[in-house]
Amino acid sequence: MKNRKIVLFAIPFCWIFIFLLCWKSGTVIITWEQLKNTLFGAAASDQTNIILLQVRLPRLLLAALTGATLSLTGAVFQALLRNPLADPYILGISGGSALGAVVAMGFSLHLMIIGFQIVPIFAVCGAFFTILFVYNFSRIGNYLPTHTMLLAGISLQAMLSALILFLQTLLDPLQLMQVFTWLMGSIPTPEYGNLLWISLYVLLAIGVILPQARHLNALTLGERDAQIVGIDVERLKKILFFSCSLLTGSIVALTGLIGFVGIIIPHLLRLLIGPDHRRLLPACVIAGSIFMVVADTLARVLLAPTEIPVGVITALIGGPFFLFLLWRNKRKGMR
Amino acid sequence: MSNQYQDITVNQLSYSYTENPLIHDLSFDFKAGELFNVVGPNGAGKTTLLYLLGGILKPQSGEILLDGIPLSSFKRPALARIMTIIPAESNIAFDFTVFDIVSMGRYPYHSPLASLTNNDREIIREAIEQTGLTKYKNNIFNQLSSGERQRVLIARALAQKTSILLMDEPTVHLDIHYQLDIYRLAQSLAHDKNLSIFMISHNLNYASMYSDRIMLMNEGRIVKIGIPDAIFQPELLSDVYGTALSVYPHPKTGKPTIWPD
Repeated sequence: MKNRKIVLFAIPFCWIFIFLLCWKSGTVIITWEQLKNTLFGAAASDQTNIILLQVRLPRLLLAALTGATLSLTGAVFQALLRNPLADPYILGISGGSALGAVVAMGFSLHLMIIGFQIVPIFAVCGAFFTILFVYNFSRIGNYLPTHTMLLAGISLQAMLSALILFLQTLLDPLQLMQVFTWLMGSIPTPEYGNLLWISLYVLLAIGVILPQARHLNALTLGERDAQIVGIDVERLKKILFFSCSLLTGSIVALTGLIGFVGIIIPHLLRLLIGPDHRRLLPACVIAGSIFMVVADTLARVLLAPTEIPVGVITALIGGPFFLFLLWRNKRKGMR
Repeated sequence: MSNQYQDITVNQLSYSYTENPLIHDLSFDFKAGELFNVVGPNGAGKTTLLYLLGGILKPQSGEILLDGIPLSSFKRPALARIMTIIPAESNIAFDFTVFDIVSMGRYPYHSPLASLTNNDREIIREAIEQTGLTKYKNNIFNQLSSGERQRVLIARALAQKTSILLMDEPTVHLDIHYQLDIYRLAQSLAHDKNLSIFMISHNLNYASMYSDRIMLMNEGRIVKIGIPDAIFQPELLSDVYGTALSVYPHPKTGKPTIWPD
């Protein structure tokens, strides 16, 4: 019990320390002294200020939002679909929002409607329809067969990728380059205005999802059992599908397809702190955000000044991890 | 029990998945203090009826009344404080412990962000003890045997502290010791705590020993409702189950017991 308090106390400090470390790292070397000066508004050179505040900070913040979003939605989908292997990427939901976003980009619909950009809206709709399809396609009464659902998700992802490729043939080279870079999955440096809107969407959705933690616990025993203990399952599913699409869509519209974060983080956390969503969901927000900050920093510095798409890094960590989970499940099945 | 809702009345209830009705024009009632047992061959519609009574399935026609008030007018959390279901089995994708699952029985009493009170913990502890699970309290649900898992589901239902209990073959995976425990527990909840208990049973002898009234079902219809002596007639049973059966009085209690011919 005492250990737990120490851990809880240590987490924010670790988070801030890692964040500062990543903020400091990059092609241009910046000392702790310079970072301190910029932070507290003391005399720092303009160049340092620009690098830290205009170039690195918005990107790190977006990375944090992305990581939090992907791991939180991963954990929610795993509970909702009663399947440890569920993840927005594998279920085709990222693909759905990507298709929505590519359609919007391809037809140059870069409009803004009262702060709502068209690209995220298309991405959110794409995500929403994909998850509705996968869920209802796979469901048999109260029962969601794992294999049907994963296979439906994977074949849908393939179809969506094909559609995206098809759309790409219609684009001019400049748009093509833009879409292509985006699809590989990377964290851009957003404008602060954009970042503000995205954080609003994300914080709103997180605010809706976190209080559902206990309901998610009940839902892991199936829809019927959740109803038995008094949960309005249809309402809960609507809330979760909608807020998860909002989350996934608004992030995918900016970052493209970053896979596997939604599987790695919730799984590692379940091993560490158990399956109770009241602890798991907040932990996903905290651990997911810092994981992505680190992954994106690695993407920036490993081959500096060349950047690796961060999707490559997460896939190279996540792919083997996913195979490991499948292998462990297989052994469980044999036992 | 503090809940006032206890008596269930069913009027002309029908339900079907396809054209063939699974439940056909059922009318019956059961009341507080009664252990009401439903028996009948496979596919008689017993489990479908149970989930209709629990509000999980919605009837196509007819009505279910809780103390005269239609079941459909209750919201889900309110209903979970009045009645609960013990499913025949459940599985879970993640490693929740026995305690975690039993404590889900307290969900209907709290807002989503509240944590367990001392009163809740006492109720959970009692439910775990009544089902003989105390030493498995911190074990992972998925690693228990099917009989132990069934007892966890019973404990969860007990922790819900409802006045109506719907049990779907609660003893099917249990050994004789726990089968008798559960029947005796059900009987004492009905008689001593004044609960209404609706139980599906495949064990005709236990149904005869412990229940107050029995409803015999076949092909979605009621064949007969009555005390064990009235239902367990050799011709009637042989006819409904399609195999020759004999009935003899129990050597000690005199209740009917059922034997193959």
